[in-house]
Amino acid sequence: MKKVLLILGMIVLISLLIACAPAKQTITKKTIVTEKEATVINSEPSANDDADLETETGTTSETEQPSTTASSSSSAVSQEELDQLKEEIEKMEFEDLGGLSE
Amino acid sequence: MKNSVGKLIGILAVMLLVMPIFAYALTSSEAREEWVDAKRISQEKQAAYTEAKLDYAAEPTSENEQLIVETGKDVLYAALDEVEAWLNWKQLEAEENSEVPDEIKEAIEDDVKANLDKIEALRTDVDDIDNRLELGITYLKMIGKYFELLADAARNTGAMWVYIGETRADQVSEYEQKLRATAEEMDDNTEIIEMLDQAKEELAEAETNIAKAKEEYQQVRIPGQPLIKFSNGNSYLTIAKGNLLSSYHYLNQAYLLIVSGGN
Repeated sequence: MKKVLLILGMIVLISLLIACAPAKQTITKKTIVTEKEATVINSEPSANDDADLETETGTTSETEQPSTTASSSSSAVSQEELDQLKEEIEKMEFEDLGGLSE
Repeated sequence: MKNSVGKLIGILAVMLLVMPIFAYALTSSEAREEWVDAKRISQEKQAAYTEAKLDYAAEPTSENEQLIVETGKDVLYAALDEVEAWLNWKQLEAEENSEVPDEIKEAIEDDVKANLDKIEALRTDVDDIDNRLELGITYLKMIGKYFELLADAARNTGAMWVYIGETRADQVSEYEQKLRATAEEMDDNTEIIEMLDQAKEELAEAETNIAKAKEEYQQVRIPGQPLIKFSNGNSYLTIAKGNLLSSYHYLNQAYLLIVSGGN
């Protein structure tokens, strides 16, 4: 009986290893992509976007850039929420079906 | 004891059968890759078919004629694979998106299922092609069916994108109102209000473009020009995306002015 249980235990272990292997790969891939995305986001901080806007609106706020995390409590919206909104808007993609109708 | 061991073996057997399903289930991004691959293969098959026709024109032998039939059949199979891959991708994209209402998800699922069945029927038609005449007849039949296969899923995909666009616009509107309420309590708020007005203006543009996209997507039907209407809807949403990003920039600028204490 012990042998049977031992064999069953081994089967369970092998099954779990087989099942988890592709999932692990997927998670690793996703982590890499997320890290890449994070790098892209970090390399384009919202301050840059604001700089563009400043040029457009004639505002010069180089010295006015505050430490947003420190004083965000004074606003009903946080910088994090605004960044999240930007990310979600940028994710919107609308692809045509040109290839299929060619 | 024997019973327990039997049950345990039964559970293990079920686990072994179910595990591969979870381990190899496609994600929507993988399904999109499959569609891109299917498109590439479809283009390759079309090139081979064109070459076969040129060969036959240069040397009209029965072998070259048969080659036209074979490469033509490959083109039709590849086109069906391409539609199938697109439908699978659209279904997974809707399934994975937690923001999409169940009603839209179910509509896309039903369309995809119905059209996958039609694709199987069309594959049987292609199987039966033996000569150039049958190839031509089936090709014409396929052209007619092609838009039919895509129209319903494309229309509902458009509805899904419109819903997401409206959700983003609502978020922008909510943040604009919150920031305005904060700004109105400040003494020196002229510049902040200007920024918020600009944000509101861009938001209004975005909402107009989303509404136009919705109208275009609703016209993705047979008879009509479903793919052109779908493309128009996509264009309006792309412009709306730009409006929403501009609105975000003004909101962010207003936010920075608020946290720095005004002008």
